[in-house]
Amino acid sequence: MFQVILSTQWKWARLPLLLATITAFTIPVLSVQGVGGNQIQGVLAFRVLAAMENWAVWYPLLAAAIGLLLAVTAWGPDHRQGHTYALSLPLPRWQYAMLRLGAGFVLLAAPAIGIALGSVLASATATVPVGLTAYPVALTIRFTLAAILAFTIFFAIAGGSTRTAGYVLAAMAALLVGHWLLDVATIPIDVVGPLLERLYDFRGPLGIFGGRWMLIDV
Amino acid sequence: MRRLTLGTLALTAAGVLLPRTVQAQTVEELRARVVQFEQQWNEANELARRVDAALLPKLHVDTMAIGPIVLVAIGDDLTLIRDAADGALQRLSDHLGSDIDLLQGVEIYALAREHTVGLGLTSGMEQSRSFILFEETKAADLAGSLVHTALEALDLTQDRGFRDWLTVRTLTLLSAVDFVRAYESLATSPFEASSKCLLGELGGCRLALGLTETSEPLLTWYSEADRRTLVENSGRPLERFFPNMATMYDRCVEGDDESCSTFMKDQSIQPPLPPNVRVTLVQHALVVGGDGAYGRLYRARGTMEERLTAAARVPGDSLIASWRAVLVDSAGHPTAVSWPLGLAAVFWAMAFSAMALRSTRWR
Amino acid sequence: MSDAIKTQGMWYRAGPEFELHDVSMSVPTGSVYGFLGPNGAGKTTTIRLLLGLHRADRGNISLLDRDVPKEMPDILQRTAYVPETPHLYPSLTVAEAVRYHGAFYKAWDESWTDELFDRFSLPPDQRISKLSKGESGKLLMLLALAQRPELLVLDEPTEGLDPIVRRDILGTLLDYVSEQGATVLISSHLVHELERICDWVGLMDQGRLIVEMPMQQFKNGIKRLRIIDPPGTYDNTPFEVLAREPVNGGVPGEMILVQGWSADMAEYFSGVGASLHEVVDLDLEDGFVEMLRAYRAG
Repeated sequence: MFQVILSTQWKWARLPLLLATITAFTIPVLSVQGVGGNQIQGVLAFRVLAAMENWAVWYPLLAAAIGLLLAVTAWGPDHRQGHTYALSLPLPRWQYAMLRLGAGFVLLAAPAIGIALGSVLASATATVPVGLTAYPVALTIRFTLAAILAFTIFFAIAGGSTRTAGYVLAAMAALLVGHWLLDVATIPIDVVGPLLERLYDFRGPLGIFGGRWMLIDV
Repeated sequence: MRRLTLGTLALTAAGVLLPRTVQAQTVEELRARVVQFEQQWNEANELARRVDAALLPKLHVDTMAIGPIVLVAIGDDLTLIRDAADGALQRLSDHLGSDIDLLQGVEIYALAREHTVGLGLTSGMEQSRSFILFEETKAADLAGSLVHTALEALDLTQDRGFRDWLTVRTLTLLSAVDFVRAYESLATSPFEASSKCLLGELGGCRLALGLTETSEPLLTWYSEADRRTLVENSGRPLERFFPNMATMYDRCVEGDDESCSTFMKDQSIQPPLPPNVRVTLVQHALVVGGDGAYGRLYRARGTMEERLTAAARVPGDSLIASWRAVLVDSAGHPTAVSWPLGLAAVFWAMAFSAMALRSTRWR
Repeated sequence: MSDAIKTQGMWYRAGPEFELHDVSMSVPTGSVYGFLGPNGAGKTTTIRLLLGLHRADRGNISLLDRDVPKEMPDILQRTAYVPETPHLYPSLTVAEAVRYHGAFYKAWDESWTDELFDRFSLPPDQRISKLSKGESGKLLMLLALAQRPELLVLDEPTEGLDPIVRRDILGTLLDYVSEQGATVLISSHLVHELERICDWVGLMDQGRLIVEMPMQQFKNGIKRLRIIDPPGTYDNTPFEVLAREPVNGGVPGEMILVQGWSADMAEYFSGVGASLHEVVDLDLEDGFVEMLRAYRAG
């Protein structure tokens, strides 16, 4: 059962997933291009860190995009025909969702391997200045965890009914409208700020997306 | 009280006036601005007097002690300030130990209005030094602000040696992040002395920190390549307005060290490592020195290294070597995924997966 | 004989303008049950309720003696469903779709799958989105039959197919049913087609199940009678009068449509001063039309 579920999900996601995997491999490799050579140690360290910072934003974005891609491709074909086929198969709904979720986790291995190989290659070929360290493993773990988390978030939303998706959107809209109204009424209560703070707190659901995404760092 | 209100209004007025003043082109216009500013200052004074007269009878005023500091709290609700004062005393005691007595005679004014708490400071040396507005709603945050304000009273820039070397005004409590930033500055400093320091050469550290006494800092602290870097970093002057400087810049970049020195001769030369690194050395000396270190630092005279070793009560080499080790250790591994962060991510992934498994069959 | 499908007092509001009213239906085990009704009568909605694709607002549903929706996985393991519009993933090839579908069923019959493949001449490497309507219908029937179901629920399975494909599909279906003794619920517009294969019939209109009976009884029991000197009202009849209408072309008397007719009931008319002149047999389609007309006339 899992095998056929995996094969359908692979078929639906393979092209964008391949692209995402290549991108995951390429980002760390590109990030170390153009830094190095016969530069003074401090200058080199500064340039390396600056280059890493420039590229850092792409890792969490890619992780989120991969999560979204896999969630959408996992549920998309079922959504398009109102889940009739999935619901007429002889297994409980939770089991079906679990198989699709598991298949998504397996497919996530491709970009994770991509970033691992890219990071290792980039670290091996780059000149890492004294005082700085290359973090290919840490970056791969961070990226994989972020991609898994993004996938589960989008998977949970996409697997819900239209009503559930509506509730999620309505809650977000209510929050933004509430924030705007408070702003207009000059009531000094910040709703969005503390919420974002909690979301990105290290214990929060988006904590893994914060922090430093540097292949080479102090 | 009046001073506090005045200070606020003055700051506001200055903020309003500054952009216009900058735009003024002629001396006449500048004079007119000065007259206007004086007029507004007087108006602000008068307004402050009226506001004080109207507000004061309605507000609670309480005098508290934070160790030797007198805290005058004014406001409609003083609970937050009282809570914060307790926290501030604890932090100051931890930071200063018995040197907390150095804060004898310091008075802090705290004005609480709605969501805003203003803090003002007076000390025996100078009246009405500053007034800062904080939007604090938590006692812990306000305690931090009180500590910062109190430490301003120990303004080390009163001392010329410190002013020239440290360039920061308050030796406030440094956090782990400050040490990470300092390490980054050390690791990424483009100057030779800094690189040597990073690699463990104490002489390099002394040069990079500006601890080596010299009348020619540009030639002592910086190598020939460094000087070229300094010039390059300052950018090529516009040839139309500064033809000589532009020529000197070009020569320097081409490798003429004398041109580099001439180019830099009128500029203030700071040590290769920036103030945020130097301040960690002071903090380290205070930590190593333990109780009474603040007072020793405050009272000691001589070169910067002598003052720091007096505070730390260890030889200069030991102090610098241990500071370097602390800095290198504090770099940590910020990119690495900590256990709590990793576990939190796994927990949330499991939580969202559980939500996904509850996907309904009713559509 | 137990019922493969049984609903009691099933209500379902599908929107502001449509509702299923108190549907109680029984599909005997081993029967081929024709589910008739005009467009929008509620046949597909009923089928979706039976398969747990919608949740009934009220009432009880059981399939193969199992409760819907509580025991859906077990029910669906023994039930095949062919929906009105193909529900397979269009990006899969025929072979992939068969492999995918087969993985979920315990009783999946590989050798029969191969046999059906040959019989229906399906192109294994063709994507489902590229299949013709006939090929698509055949594939759905193949998937339904290869899982060796005890119950087949077929919603307009031959809609839009040419007669040859229809015959192929229905022939294979009947072979299976006669061999396995499976139960079939089949909805269709093609009344003549159902007349050939069904032994039970249910008629639905405007969200209500109007009638449900054995096919033979339906065909024999509904007659059109020409009556001379008809009474003002038909009271205490041994049959049910569904409709009355004048005879066209100046012919005397009136035509009445009756249900539950048998020849020995002719005496009734002499008892009320009328006489029976003609008994007209109706085929399923005529019966279906007349039944609907009578129902709508109240």
